Amino acid sequence: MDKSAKSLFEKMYTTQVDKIYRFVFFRVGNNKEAAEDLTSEVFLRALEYFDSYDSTKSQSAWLMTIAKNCLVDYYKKQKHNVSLEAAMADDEDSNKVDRLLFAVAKENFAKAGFNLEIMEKLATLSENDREIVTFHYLYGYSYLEIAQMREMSETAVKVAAHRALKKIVK
Amino acid sequence: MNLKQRYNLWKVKRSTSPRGVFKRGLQKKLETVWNDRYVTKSYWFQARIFKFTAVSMIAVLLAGSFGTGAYAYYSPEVTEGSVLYPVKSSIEKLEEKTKRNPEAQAKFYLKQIQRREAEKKKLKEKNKIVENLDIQIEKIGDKLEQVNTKLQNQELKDKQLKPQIEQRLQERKKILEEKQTRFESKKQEMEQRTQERAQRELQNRERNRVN
Repeated sequence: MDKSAKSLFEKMYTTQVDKIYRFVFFRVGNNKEAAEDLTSEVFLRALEYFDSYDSTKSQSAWLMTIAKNCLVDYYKKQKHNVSLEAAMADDEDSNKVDRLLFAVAKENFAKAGFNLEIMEKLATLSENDREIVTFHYLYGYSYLEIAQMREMSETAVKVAAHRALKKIVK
Repeated sequence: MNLKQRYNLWKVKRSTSPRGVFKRGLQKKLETVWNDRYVTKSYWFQARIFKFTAVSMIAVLLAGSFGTGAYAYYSPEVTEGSVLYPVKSSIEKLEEKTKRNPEAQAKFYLKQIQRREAEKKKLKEKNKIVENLDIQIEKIGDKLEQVNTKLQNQELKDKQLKPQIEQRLQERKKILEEKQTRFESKKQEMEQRTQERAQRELQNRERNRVN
């Protein structure tokens, strides 16, 4: 691995660490320590497999996949979410896992005393719209990053976000 | 989404940011792991400047030692007692071991005798003792004689070698004869002196008895 690979990894870390942390934080019972442990785990795994990372592809999407795998492992260890375990055992339906991860996040959001009104409004959205809004407004991903993760055009993501916000206002 | 809701989300986002200490700590940890995993350790002796220096030094040393060895081997100035003489004799011993057939050995002994003679000449110019060299030349001559007996019934590749050996052995014979003559004359001289001394002693005794 040359110096350019190292600087690429460093850049990826600085731009992604906050987003990954937030994504994880809402899914581990707003537990800061657990979120920090998981974030560390995500980046350590990313480092381990960095030689197989295709730099032409989206960093956000790659890290998000690792983060989801780490969360799945975390839940397996915790054994507190029966439905999630069932979903994981059921099949490899990633959308199902995502839905359950959001459900956990919502539950934890309420527990932490954050304003639940926005979460309830988000829950009324379709899965795709909700993800775009939360990723952009809550975790801090740009429209471009979300577009890369979802393999859509940036304009399509912006349009979807705009429509989702209109629905929330209604 | 109204402004209030946006503000609420922004507040949540801000309050759920990771701690700076954690981020810096993780960054350091990742750097350590990266170095362990991907960076091959470079030792001081792998540095380019060291390699260049080492190669240059070795080249200079080799050239120096070859040069010194060659000078010691070929120069008649390097005589017994000089610093390079052990180098010269070591190279000669080594060369002697490489000569396997009698013809090559004979050539080598001829060359060795020539070298010793050149050294002898140089030492004489400096008014130094040459006895050791005479002994060495004699010993080499012995070896040459032994090799010559093996060559008697052989057809040699170098046709001029036999006459050279013959000439050298003749010279050796001459020297030995001269030595022998010198020895005989010295012996006679000694015997004569002894006789004279004995006669003188006898005469002294008789004189003492008469008195």
